[in-house]
Amino acid sequence: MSAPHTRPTQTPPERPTRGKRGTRRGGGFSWFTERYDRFVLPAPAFLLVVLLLVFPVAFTLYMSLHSWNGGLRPPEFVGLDNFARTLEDARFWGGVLRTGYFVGLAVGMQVVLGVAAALVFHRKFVGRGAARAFFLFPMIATPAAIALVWKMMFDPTLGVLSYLSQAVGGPPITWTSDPNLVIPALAMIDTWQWTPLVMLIVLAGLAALPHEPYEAARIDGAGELRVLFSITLPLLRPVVLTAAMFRLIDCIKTFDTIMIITAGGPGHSSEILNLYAFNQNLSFLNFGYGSALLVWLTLLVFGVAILLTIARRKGATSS
Amino acid sequence: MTSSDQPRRPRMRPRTVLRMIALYAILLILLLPAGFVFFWMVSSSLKQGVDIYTMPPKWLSFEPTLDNYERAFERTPFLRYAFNSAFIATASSLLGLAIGLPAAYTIARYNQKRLAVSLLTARLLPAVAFLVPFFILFTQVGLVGSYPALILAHLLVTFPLTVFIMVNFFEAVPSELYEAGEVDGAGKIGVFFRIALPLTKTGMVTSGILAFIFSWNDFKMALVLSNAETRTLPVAVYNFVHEASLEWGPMMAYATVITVPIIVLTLLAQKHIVTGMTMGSIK
Amino acid sequence: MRKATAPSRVIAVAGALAVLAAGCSQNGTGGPSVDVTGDFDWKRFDGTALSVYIPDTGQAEVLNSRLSEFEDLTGIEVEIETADVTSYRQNLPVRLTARADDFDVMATFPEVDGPQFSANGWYVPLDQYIEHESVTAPDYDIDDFGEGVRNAMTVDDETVTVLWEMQTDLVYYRKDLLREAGLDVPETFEEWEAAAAQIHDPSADMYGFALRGIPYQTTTPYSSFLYAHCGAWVEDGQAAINSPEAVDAYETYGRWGSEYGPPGITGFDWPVPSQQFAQGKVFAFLDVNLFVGDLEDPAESTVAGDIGYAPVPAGECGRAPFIGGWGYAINPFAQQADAAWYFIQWATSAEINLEMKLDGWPSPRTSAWDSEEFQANDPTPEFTEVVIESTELANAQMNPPVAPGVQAREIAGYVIHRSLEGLSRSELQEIADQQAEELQELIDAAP
Repeated sequence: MSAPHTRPTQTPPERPTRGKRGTRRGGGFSWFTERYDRFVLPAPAFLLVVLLLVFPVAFTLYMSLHSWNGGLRPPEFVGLDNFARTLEDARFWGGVLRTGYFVGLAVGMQVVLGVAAALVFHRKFVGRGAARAFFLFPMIATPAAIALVWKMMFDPTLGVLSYLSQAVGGPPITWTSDPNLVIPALAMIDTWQWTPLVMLIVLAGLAALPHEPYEAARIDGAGELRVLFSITLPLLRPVVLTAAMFRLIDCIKTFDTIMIITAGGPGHSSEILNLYAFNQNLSFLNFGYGSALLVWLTLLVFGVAILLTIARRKGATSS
Repeated sequence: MTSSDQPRRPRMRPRTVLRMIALYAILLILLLPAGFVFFWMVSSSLKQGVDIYTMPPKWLSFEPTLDNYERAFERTPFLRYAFNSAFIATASSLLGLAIGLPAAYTIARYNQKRLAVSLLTARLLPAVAFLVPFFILFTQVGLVGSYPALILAHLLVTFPLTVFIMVNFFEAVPSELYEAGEVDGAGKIGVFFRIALPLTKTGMVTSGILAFIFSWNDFKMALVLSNAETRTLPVAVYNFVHEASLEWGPMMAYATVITVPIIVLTLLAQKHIVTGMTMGSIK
Repeated sequence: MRKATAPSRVIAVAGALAVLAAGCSQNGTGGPSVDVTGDFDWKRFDGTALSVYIPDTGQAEVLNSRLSEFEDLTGIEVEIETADVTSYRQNLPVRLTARADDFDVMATFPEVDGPQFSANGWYVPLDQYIEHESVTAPDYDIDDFGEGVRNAMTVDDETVTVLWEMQTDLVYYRKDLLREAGLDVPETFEEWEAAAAQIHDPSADMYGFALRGIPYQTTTPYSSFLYAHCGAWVEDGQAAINSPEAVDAYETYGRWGSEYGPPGITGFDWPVPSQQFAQGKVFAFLDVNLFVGDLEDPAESTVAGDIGYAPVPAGECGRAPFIGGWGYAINPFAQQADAAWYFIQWATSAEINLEMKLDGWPSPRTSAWDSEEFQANDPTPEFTEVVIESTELANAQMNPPVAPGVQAREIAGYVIHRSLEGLSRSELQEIADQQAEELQELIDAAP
């Protein structure tokens, strides 16, 4: 089954004629379900979302307007004070900047490598299936377990990476202990883990590319590189944008790996906004302030999602 | 994944051979990082304590031992944790399917954008925001630490994924088939059960497998919401972090045991995972 | 679908308020209190089911192996849930916030948790049990815990926990290297630094001195620098982590770490200094007394048998070791508070302590250290002597006494962490001033 890279352009289904006599069977209840099947069928899903989301969302919004440390005293209303304090909090701004740095670096590398890998896997060669399965492992292996392996490989005492680097005459690699290198190191680990996803998405895109431009290029006698840069990559743009969008959204919310490997350190050098919010809530028990941070984080994720959706739409209409 | 016809069919000329060599060389570079991490995990799990710390590392020349596995399984109720992980992952992916399928169907069939977006919020919200409220909520209703609490929490992971993937499959069914079903008197609900579902079995397997994997992998929810009885494997690894020592050997043994089922699943169901991950993202 | 948002909003707010209101209604502070009379009887709570939630700091193995004895003795059925220390620190407060009553015995590290837990009403005073003849065995003997340990179990003059371990800090060093260098065992900061400098030889992969580097963990070893340099975390309600004495201490800590420390020291987690020492890469390190077992085990350490133990260095204000540790406490929302105390007094009894001591555990009971069984079999008498001396001396606080403890620890630890970059005095002063301001905010925010 080949995965479509865009939804098959389908004429929107005709509005079903409601309560058509022919479909009306039996008594009241089945008449109801027949008539409102579009609401009845997704009702459990909708209820689930309400059940799972409403309390956490309400709790976070409520807490963000209060000051509470979890004790026996009730939360104290403080208005927008928590939000005002975030604006003066150097650690908050640091977290925002680090989020941008981490996400930019990680997603950038993933997209470049993912496209490159997709071009390789798009070719036919012996053992492609097995190689592709192997390439996918990092994406589906349990992050909490793999993070421990990375932690061990970066360990100052028993770190194999440091040994390998020194063996070829390089410096000792203690990146996760170096405030300047910790984010690149974590971005590298994220890239290790998620390049396969970008590869898969781009691979599906490659499979769905039209043949005509290639025919034309062949007639023109264009070289392979030229074809790559002037035909393949431009055509892939929407797909790459999609892949980048999904990675961006999830990357902002990265938690397990950073928590396990550095817990935000050394210092606060790898404390992205998500971790800072976690610390304020679960380590410091500042539920009010921590909730305000979560509100900002959520706004950031939604903002990015909306911007990228707009970008994608524009791309779709202009190409 | 078979339509990779290149405009030029390569013939086996010397240049082509060279290019094949280059291709495999690039492939090797692409696969090396994944291979190395897994090699290091598995080999460390088979080493004695002293060998783990030895630098230069003993790549293959160490005396392999199963001590770490023995210690890991003796010190913790491994089977219980494995059962918890498998049970919670199975239940939350099945439940995700049961609830997600009808919603994905109507989204695909009636183009319900707004519903799709409202379900999508579940995917956008940061999981950290759920930890404390879920704990309080589940404590208040007396469910904290129980399977239902964890399964519900894991639905946050499995349910949106299922919907994402299944919408694609329901859309791929020609709408004439749905309409024909209705004309034949199957009824609208009947069309869903008798036409839509049987035609999308592959999709169900695909989304089921992926939901299972992501639930199996989840760390945050179980970290906060599970207790000794319901703890899952990813959290249990941390039993080997003590105040005065990190037991790397047993930790690597655990990491290996957690990862192996997932890897086997990938090998068995590669096609499903490829399709699912691609579709789960594109929407 | 749009219509549904209005009702859902109502449900949301109602739900949130209901939960918070439910929480606020049970406002009886102070938790459970003892209400029994008569002679002490181990079988008093026969048939009760008890749930224990504690971190495994290494003590759980002995505890589990003896648990059936407790069940036979009391008829109380016990279920123990353990977690690793890090996730325990995160999860326990969440459980208490949610007023979870599904566990009766909990654990606390008063040096860190004290201010916050007591402000939140999360401690059940234990004196009412300890002093109550009906619920405490006649041979329990609380005075067997030394004065320093008793202090470490107390918050605001109330005993809130009974420790199962006694942490203090000391210097671990390599006797063989010291001998080769022709030096006596150093006493003061100057002497230790001189020895470290002499032995330090990075080209031979040998470093002079290792310390912790991760901010929130550095306060523990640094406390012995701070107090020996005549500083303190807080003086008269004012954050004092930027005082000249504190900056002296940062300078020393930072110089040792940056000039004689192994590469990557700013990111050293708590076990790393001891691991590097076990690898024979480090001449000495200063840390808590929990590493001796592993370090003297030839399967885990290449330096077993060559290790010397010394009290923390002396400064202008003498030596300043600390005492702290994890202890058992009663969940303020417990359903079985009295039976919980039975478990605590059994788990901290002289008998269990002795067995733990013989197992290499740093017991907080004097009788365990003094026992013939232990003294006859002590594998490291020198270590024992140093630990006993340190605990008698203990005068440092390993953590700023400010709520929330973890945050205060992180604020102060940040300066210590940065000092390892080898900053100048004025740079350190600047960072210390910033952090002192933050710490002051916490102090002022306390109710």
